[in-house]
Amino acid sequence: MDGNFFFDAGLPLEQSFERLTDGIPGPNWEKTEQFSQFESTLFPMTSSPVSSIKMTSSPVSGTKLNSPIIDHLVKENLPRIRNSIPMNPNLPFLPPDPGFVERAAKFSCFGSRSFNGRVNVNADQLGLNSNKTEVQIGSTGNLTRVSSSPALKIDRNRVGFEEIKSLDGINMKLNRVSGSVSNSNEGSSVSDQVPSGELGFRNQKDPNPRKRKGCSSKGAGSNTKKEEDDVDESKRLKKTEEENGGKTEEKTKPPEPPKDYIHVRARRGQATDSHSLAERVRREKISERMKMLQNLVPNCNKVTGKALMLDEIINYVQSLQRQVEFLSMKLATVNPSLEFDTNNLIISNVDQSNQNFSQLTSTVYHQNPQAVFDGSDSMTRPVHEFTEPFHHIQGFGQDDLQSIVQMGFGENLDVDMSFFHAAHDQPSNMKIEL
Amino acid sequence: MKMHTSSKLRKEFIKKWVKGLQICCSSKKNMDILERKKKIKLCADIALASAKNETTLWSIALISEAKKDDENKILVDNLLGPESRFKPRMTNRQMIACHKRVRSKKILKKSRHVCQKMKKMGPPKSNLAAYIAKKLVKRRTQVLKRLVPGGESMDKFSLIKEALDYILSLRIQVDVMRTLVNANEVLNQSDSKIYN
Repeated sequence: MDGNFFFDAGLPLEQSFERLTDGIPGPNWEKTEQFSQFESTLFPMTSSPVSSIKMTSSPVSGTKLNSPIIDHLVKENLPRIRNSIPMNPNLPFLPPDPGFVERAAKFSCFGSRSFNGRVNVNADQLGLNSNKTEVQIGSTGNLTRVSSSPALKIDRNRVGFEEIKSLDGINMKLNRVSGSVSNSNEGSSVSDQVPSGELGFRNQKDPNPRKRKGCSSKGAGSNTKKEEDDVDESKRLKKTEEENGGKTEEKTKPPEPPKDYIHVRARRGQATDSHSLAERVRREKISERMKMLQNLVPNCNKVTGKALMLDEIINYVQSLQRQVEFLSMKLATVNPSLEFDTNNLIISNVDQSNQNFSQLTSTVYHQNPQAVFDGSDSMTRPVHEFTEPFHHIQGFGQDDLQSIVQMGFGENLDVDMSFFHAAHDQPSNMKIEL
Repeated sequence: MKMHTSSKLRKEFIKKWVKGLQICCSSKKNMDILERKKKIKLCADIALASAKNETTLWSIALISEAKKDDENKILVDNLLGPESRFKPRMTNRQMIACHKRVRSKKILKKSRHVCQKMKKMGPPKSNLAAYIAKKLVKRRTQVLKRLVPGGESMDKFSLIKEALDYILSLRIQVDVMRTLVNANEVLNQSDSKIYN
């Protein structure tokens, strides 16, 4: 879901920058300057779809090619705007160039997502790629998180997938981890709309939000790191440049079928060789699992950090194992007379015929003949009274417990009361082990 | 959904456990208390593991370990029924060899890593806190590996998953045993009251 964004962030941008840098003098150059200005004013705001849309809509009027896109954009983005940012009056007038407007539309989509902590390698790519065009790295750094809104999807289908094909050879993987999500709503709607556009992106939605929360701090931290692996990135850039050159005409090519393996994009400022990527994926899987374990192990909510968590888990497992030992010992102390067997008989009967009351009474009869007389009438009564206290006991199967207890209660009502009061309030006769 | 599967598991566990206990009791009549305890526990463990139906690694490991003992083998086979697919994956010798292989590979890997690290970073104490933290985690994962049955031959990721599942099943086991003990105590008390 989020991972796609990175891909799309990098690729259409690269391509567009490529077009810009194709060496066409004059008007294009001015365009890029204006465009960079546009960017730089646009992206310091966390999300400025309003302004961008308004800006793009005006130059669009002249172009018939991209107006449907822009209108679509406007319709889609406006309802989704969460952060209302005042419109920047300093945005430059954008020349009515169709390609440029399209690009601007693409970039405007980026604005609708928060950029907190989501900067990644794309920044470096763009920085390196656009050295010639003097586009500021700082601004382009913020372009990396692309919201795959439907308008973008159109572009992506045309543009993105060619790039994606090219990157397969480099064995890039999409980064599952993303930073904070400002628009979870948008994200979910996006994922609905882009099923075909996925790159074989196997993430489920569940791990994603968790990872996002867990890694938002990490992402924010990595924002400030310097880029470390220029070499790798420049290699990748060169490859994409080659592909870009060959593929500018293939814009109308149908989207590629989604790939089969998981793509991960390296985060900014972190190593990009395949080993560390795989390791990072692994680590994130592990941290996700640890979070699940946290919910399971009691008293684990405040504990953070792997070592402490593992400590708690180990303690819990040990205590459970010890309990099993203790309980089995206690069961072994059961008077090895008929009771042991009858207990089993009871249980087996209970399970085989849960609803068969007569059979239950018959087993009780075998066990304690005289109790049945007392119990048969009162057995119906205790059932209702005593199932209640057990509702709050977690994890008890109602059926077996109920029927087991029924046996016990058939005998003596007094005992029953004490037992259940114990369960309910304080232990009197029964020691409820915790 | 979780409660549903857990109650299903619980029922399976009870069934199998009772069955195993019956087999146990039918074989020998007089055992001392420790033996009985062992049998009870064994039956419980095997019942729990087989109730999982080979879906988790730890259950498989537990059963194959139980099968190693000849005297338990009969019990286990009977318990699992005629359709027992639990053939012991490997014989004892094979398992030992496998473990040795795994361990030696790990040692090799470790030494390689350490060498690389020493080459990369000069003094290993440069990032002392992280280093210590890593060591702690490592030590704890080792302990966890020992606790979870079959944990030795699991990587960190699946270990955690298995531990999760194991905790759930242990909980069910403890619950059932505890209710049985409680019910038994009630019976005892009622008995004593009646007889007094």
